[in-house]
Amino acid sequence: MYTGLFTFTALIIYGLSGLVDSSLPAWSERKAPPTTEQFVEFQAPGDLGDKELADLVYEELDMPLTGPAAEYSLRRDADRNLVVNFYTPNGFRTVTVLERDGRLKIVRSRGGMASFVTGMHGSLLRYAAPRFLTRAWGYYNEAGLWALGFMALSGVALWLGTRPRFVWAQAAFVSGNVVFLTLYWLIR
Amino acid sequence: MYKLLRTVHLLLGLSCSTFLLMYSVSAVQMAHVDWFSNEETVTQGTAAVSAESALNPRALAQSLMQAGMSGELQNVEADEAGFRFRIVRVGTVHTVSYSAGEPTARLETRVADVMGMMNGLHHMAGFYREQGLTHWWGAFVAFASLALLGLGLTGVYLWFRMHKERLVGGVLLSAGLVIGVGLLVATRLQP
Repeated sequence: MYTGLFTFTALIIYGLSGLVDSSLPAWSERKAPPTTEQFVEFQAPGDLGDKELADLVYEELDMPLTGPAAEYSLRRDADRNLVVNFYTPNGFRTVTVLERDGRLKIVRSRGGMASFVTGMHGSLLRYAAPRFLTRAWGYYNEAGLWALGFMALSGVALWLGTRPRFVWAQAAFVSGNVVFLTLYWLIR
Repeated sequence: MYKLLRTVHLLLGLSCSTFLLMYSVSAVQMAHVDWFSNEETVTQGTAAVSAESALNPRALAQSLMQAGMSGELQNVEADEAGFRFRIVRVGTVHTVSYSAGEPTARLETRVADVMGMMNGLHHMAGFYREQGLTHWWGAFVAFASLALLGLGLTGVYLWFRMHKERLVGGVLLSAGLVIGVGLLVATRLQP
């Protein structure tokens, strides 16, 4: 009970996220969020590799909720400019380093509440940007995912300890497990 | 009212306890990847390719599926030299490579262990996939999500009716709400 009360917000986010994911269409049919564009002066040193340059861009822009870009989020566009993707639960920031123009092109996308909820549900401490808000949510989310497992087990234990002969409870437990195991083996 | 909600809480919790445990365990696995082995079983093989199925990736995928390979067609790449694609279902990925003019296609099948399978199930929701069984899974994900919301709300009501537990529970609930909702709002307000 105490774990559930403390992690109540995280559990509600998990439930809402599941409902959002249940209602989404296929990836190809999902609407892209609206974007805004901005240009910032930036002189790229000529002696850096792509990852070092991306790290320099990250330090220069100091965008909220972002961390240093991972290798897999770097690419070159058709004009051979470095493109760096920074993820946040609010949306992506795609930065193109226009070295010849001496500036950065920043495209910001801002997702709706549905993508925010699913983004926060998946914001684990392991992947959290080195920012207070993302790290703090990572710790709270970590508490939530452990609490979920603990409550699933302790709930069964409490039932067995108090009302094991309650027929409807037996039926709910057995049918839930039969459905889970059947689908597990059929889907595999 | 109290007895009714206590029964609802019990039945909701028991009916989806295994689903919720699976979500918790797979989330722990994602949060602590290095705690688990995450092993895959990899097998290599070949499949005969008829003249009709050599025409394009979808035709070959269809003939492989008729021969028993199940899943969704993904990552299709085709050029003059041949084509490659994947047939994917939760926990199993078949990678098929075909060189134009050859009588056989190369197959590589990767089967995840139990943790990998649970990871795949954790990410599977919705009703848009081709495989019919995944729709049933999607239905139970939606049910488990609703159940989780119901468990949370009935849980708070049941706690509130236990007068002896109000102080400690109130402190914990308040702390959780201040931390959780505060972080959500502060994060959402960021540009």
